[in-house]
Amino acid sequence: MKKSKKILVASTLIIGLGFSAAFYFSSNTKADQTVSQHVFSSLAQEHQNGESKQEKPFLKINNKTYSNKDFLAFKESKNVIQRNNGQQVLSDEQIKAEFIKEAVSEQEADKQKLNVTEDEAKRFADEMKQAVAEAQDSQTQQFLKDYIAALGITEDEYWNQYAIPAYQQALKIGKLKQKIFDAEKVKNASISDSELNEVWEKQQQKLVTEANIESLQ
Amino acid sequence: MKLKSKILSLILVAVLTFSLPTLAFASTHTNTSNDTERFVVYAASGTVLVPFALAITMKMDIVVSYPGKYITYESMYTTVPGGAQLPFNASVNAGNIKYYKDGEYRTTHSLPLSPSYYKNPSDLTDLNAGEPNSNLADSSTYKAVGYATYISSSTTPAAYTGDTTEGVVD
Repeated sequence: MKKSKKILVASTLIIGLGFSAAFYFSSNTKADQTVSQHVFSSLAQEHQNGESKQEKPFLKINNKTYSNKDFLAFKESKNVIQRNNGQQVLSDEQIKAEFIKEAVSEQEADKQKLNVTEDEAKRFADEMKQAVAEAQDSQTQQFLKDYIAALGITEDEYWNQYAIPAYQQALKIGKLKQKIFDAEKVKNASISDSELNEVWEKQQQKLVTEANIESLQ
Repeated sequence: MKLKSKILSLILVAVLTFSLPTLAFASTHTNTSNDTERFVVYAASGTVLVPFALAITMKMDIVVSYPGKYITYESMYTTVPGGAQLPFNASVNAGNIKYYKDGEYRTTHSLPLSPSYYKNPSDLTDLNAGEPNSNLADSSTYKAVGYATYISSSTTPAAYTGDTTEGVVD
């Protein structure tokens, strides 16, 4: 009798723990799926709204004009990052400040002839495509699939039409950053990462301050 | 006089008897563990999000002094190669070292010191070290795992934590 009671208690405990674990894991997976659905349904909606708008000049930065669609696409990307990281989306003013910083940094890289050819950007894009395909974490691949689907484009379009110019810009800014860091390293051999980041932010701020920015809305 | 020199001789013999073996076997041993983990983050550039493939490399050193098996120095050095060339701000932090014995967690050693080191301006790097720690001073063999974290608010995911392969501390 005692033995059967023990078996009964043990079985109840095992079944209970099993159900709890199953509930815990399934609720976590569901929570991840819910976040992911929210991120990409919001993106799809924002993207459709952006596409339906007429293209108009939005900002003039040092004689280069950026359209409202350039800004909206940048805002969409920033919103995906914030939402996927569980953070509140940034205000339009904050995103505009980021947009200007990126634009002046790219212009400065062009001015200093830190060029990145289309071929160079394509090679980099091919490497990144392969890295995503080989990623052990399935979320890395799923994220890109969901992202491309929310933009309503094909994978080929993404890699050939969108990613290459994006990498061209990113690599140019990377080259400018590296040039500034190399110069700082010569001045101060023991400079830390946080100090280098400060130098970069100050440099970007200086470029923004010196830039001729005109709102065209 | 004779008695005095006899006493001195005895003291000398006693000192030599007890200290020589200790001096003879006093030694240090460095347990090193390396690892590289690869991961992908997404960042905004131009009109889209694009993936960036990164790697986090970690080197954990645990210096053990004998006799007494006393940890005299622990350090974690981590890098994200090419990380400084990324078009966004990011950092890497060398974290704690966790110790296990017979598969069970025993203790975590924080690494409060930041020794100076050569920094490649192309990479994100961090080096932290720990002071002598005696809470594992016995003859057991421990396993240690060191942690390092990549962080950037401009990417998703915003953080990635890598760990070293288990280092045997003996």
